[in-house]
Amino acid sequence: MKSRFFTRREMLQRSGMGMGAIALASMLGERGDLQAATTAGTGMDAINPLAPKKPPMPAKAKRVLHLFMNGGPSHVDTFDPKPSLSKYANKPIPITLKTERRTGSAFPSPFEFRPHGKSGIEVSEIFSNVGECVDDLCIIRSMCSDIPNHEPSLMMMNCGEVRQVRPSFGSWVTYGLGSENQNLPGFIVLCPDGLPTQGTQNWRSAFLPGAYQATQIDTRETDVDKLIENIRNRYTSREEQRRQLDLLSELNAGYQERRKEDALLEARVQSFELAYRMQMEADDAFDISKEPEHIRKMYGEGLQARQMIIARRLLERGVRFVQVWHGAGQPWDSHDDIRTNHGRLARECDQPIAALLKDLKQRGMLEDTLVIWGGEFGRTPTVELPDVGANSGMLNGRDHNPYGFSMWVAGAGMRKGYVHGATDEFGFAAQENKVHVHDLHATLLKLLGFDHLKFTYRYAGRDFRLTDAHGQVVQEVLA
Amino acid sequence: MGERFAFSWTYRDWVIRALNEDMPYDRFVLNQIAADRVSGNDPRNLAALGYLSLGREFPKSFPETVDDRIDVVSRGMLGLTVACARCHDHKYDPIPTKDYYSLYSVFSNVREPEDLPPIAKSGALSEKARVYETRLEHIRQEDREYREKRCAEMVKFFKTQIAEYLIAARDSERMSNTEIEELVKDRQLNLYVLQRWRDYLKKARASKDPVFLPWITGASIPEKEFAAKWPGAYSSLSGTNRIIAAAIDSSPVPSPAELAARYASALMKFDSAAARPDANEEALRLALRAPEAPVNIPVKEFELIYTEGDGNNTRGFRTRYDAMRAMYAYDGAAPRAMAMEDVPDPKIAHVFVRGNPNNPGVETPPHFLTCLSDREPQRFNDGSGRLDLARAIISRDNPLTARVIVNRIWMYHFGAGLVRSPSDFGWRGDPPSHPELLDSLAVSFMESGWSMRKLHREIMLSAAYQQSSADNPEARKQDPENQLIWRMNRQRLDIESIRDSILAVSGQLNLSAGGVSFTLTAIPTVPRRTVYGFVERGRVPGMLSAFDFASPDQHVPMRYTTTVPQQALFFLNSSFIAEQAAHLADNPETDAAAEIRRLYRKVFAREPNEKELNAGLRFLGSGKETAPPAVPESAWQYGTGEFDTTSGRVRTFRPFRYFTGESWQAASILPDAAEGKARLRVNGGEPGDKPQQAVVRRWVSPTDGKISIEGTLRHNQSALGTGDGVRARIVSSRYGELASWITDGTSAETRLSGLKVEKGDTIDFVVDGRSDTENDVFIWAPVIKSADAKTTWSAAADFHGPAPQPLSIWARYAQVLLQTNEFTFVD
Repeated sequence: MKSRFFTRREMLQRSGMGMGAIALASMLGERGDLQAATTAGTGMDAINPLAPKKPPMPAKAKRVLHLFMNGGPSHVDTFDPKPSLSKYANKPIPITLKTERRTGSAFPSPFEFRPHGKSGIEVSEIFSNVGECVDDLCIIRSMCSDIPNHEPSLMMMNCGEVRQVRPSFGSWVTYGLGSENQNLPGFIVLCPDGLPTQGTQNWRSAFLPGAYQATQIDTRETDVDKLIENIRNRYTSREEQRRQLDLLSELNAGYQERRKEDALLEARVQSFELAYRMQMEADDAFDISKEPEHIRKMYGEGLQARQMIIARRLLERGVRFVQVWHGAGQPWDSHDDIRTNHGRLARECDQPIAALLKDLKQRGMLEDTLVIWGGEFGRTPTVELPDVGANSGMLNGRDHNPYGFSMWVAGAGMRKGYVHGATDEFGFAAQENKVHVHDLHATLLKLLGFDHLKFTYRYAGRDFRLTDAHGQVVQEVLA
Repeated sequence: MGERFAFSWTYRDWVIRALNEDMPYDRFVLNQIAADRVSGNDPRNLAALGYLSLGREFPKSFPETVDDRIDVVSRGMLGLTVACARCHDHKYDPIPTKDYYSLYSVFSNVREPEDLPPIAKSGALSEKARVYETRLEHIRQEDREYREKRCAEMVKFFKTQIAEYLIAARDSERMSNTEIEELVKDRQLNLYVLQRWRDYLKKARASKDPVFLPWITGASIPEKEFAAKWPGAYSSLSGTNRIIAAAIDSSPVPSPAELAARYASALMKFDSAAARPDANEEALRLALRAPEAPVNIPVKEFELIYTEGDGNNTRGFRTRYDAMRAMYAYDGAAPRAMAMEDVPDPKIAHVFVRGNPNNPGVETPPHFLTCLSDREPQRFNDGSGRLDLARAIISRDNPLTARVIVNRIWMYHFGAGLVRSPSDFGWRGDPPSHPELLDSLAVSFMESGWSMRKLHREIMLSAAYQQSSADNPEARKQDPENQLIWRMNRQRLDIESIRDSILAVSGQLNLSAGGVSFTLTAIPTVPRRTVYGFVERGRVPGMLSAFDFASPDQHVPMRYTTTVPQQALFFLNSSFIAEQAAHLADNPETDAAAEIRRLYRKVFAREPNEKELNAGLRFLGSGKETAPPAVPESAWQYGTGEFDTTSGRVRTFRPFRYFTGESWQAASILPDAAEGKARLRVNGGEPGDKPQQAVVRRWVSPTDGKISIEGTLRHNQSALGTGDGVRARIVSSRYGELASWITDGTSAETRLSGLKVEKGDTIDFVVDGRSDTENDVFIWAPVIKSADAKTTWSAAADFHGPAPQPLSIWARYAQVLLQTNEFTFVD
């Protein structure tokens, strides 16, 4: 009896697709011969929801890496220099907008900004390593969102809606594109030490099938068992497991003889083979000790370096969407001591992020990977005032600010070494070329090959979009 | 322990009981919407209200909570997507926004009762129950006292702001709600207090109140003209309160601000608890002390005026109370219903224009959907209107209710509904494949007294249902999706059925029904039916989510069927499958062929054919008993015990039985009847309430030699400062107690060195909760080092579940049978 196990080469031949694309659905022959296997009314591939799919329009980006600085990094201390704040130091500024708490007079950044690269774009000293890559970045200084609180703003940035249960951006992308690697989840969230504020809601699939929900991985863990459930067999040796699978194939073949038309049966047979190989692949993907010394040096020490390397290894293996969170809770939420806190946070991730950008570039992956950096909002240019139980009563922090903040996007079809939009003189609100989160989503979807107006999912009687009833593609940021 | 609703399981048990007793579907619906409003109802039916109360909570957004209730009722029971009409009229179906807000008027006037009603008579309280009851009452008492104290302080504070509020009332006279909100924020006033002042002054104007008439008169004069016009306006008034008049007359009043200041000081002068004999003085006193006095906020309205800190503190009481109640519910409390009740004074909602709650449109009294009413829908008058709504839904004249449930039941039998969008019977849903059949089933269903059991029988006795799933290429060409039901659909078991079936064939299935949930991920497996497994909304167990489990966040019309490798990993590697395969093959017949036949009868309820028998024999014959990568025996054990102060030793070490994936504990879900909430986690744990329930992390020395111990013991103070911390001890089997520490919101270095041990000696790391056993979670993951520093035993790094037992060749064979398509698919 011929084993039903395919070698990797056979798999690729049979799948007729590019390297890494070992799609299940395509192994099953022409769809016309098969029992229709879509989940009624959804048009979704019910056999393998993660089979790679082509987007409806030409795409520049194949995969997404979202570096989430949760808590809200201050733009006037990172990517949006505001010299006027020094002039107004300790004086009220002519703009007042309502934020979560009360703020007072202008609070100049305690950090120096310096021009970098050919573009000469100014970046704060705390991100001097990222600054070296500034000629590859498209910095949007006119981002805006709706509400000055973490929870709704996290939901807006991730799911495009502040309150109601909606699928996350990553879920939409994996729903639309599937994944290039069937041995790993298609949408992976990396976060050390626990969950960010709003927890799993940040990467939920909501009404999309559960297969599009992210797999969350605590990057503090080094044991692959903890990274993917049931990835390791602790009862049987791998050779014996192979024999079990051969017997299983034989028994299933007998069962299928009279049920050849049913694609789901073959799909399930193949899923066992995929799972078998996934055990090896997962070990490999998360084992950063396999990186050469000079690469590990480039990323530096610490957890952030570790998770950036893991992120790159996952992207390299064809994972569609990787989201990396700075940490549990909301680490960037510096209501006090912005100098110490932002200084420390940036020190943790500046070198790893810069290394990641350079590493992706040297591998040619930056050309088709979208790298997004930002938080759920920015911070006020004015100092936060002490209030009962609200902060530690120090006058050296900033409150939340959804009216104007900075994000940057690099790679795949984004303009390079370019600053888009501007906040007002003080950095309180976006003024020129405002980019709402919905607009950013629309733009990113375009780069991934989707018209955000047409990329819909029918649920509860209506066609839902990531951008709901909003969003406009920002043409100027496209290369 | 995660967050849990205290009595959510009573709703699950109610549904199961209702189905088992074939409760008529109309009663089934009625109870879930309005069991509390049905007179003479069996109190057990109150648990049905979990349908409304157990939805996703949106603590900061009440409209979302109401939206969820509207959605589960309208899609779940009527197959109508009413929630689409929240911001504008429904784009396709005849559902105007006004209808959505009529239902909003119903479901926004519902709340959780202060005390959840018991659904069974409880006898005398046990000793344990009395402890819980006392603690719960204690938390309530603290909460009450806190509110009374703080509310009084706030009232006192608002009395210092009389002038500010008078001015704000004047300035906000013609403002919109949004503008008023901004004014309040700018001036740091309280919106509700200002609202009370505005209402009070409005009434004072109407009644020509002798105290406030001068103020009202002055406030109506534009600021710039005040100096000029005030004297004339004031002198035309008559009957002014004597004391107010004196305050005004004492010297000229140049501005409204000065006038407000005069009022403030006059009012404060007579602010006393006791009534005053002088009528003029009493009038002033009442302006601050009467129930309707603007500053006199009653305690029950405290939440409208409290500060951010008060909010945190009262929420803290609530969290503490809920956690304690949830613990009690799982520890022998008499079952209660997660009931709902109508608020005493229902308020009529209004349309939120474009869905914005701050943009009120027309009022929408509670009534039924227009498209399902004969004429203009009648206003509901009973409380919130839930009872009327439920009656309208189950009315024989309602064309949807019976069709929707009949279609769902059909769908569960056939794998696809006659209407393939089971929760959307509107224009955008799929039209029925067999409309006459659907109608006929719906009518006979109602005529049978809404009996679901009779409906099952009718469907299952049909020729359509009894077809085989064999292929027919010609039919498949014409109708690939089998809409015309030319054969039975082959169906894959859902995860609950897969797990239950595996337990059934392995002989482990425990059919006991009802009661509190168990932890699905526990090792060893708790062999109860999967429906009794605990599902935490934010952390659905991986086993369930990999197999297309329904999202617990919203109404799910039907499950998806996906095939992903995580499902195969479960069948290949999970401890569950290994355990059950071992049980299935734990007593093999001596004759291999006979054993294969026995297993086939067990797993597939049939004999193997020749080929299958031979394949099995080949597998068994060529198998090597190769063990998996050896797992070194752990030096650590986990359990409870009591430190005996007389002997200085740990008495009766009782190992924990269950490992949940995160912690070792005595029951799969805590608290355990004997060991309470005691558990040990990777880097710490929590002791039980009693001295005997101290947690013990035991290290058994694998060698002779000298060791040292390091580690940091930490206890975090709770926000409310509850509890008195924990006591930790290191106890040697050879020398007795070596050291002890107490931490209460503090940390301590736990170091010992030069300790001599012999192989088999134990070192116990014992933690108890001292006398106050609230907030006893601690962090302590000691590291033991051999004197030569070559070997390290780290409590955290070595922490894991029970050591896996290699599977016998028979178990490996049995596992393959459980993995087959034949076992998972139903023809």
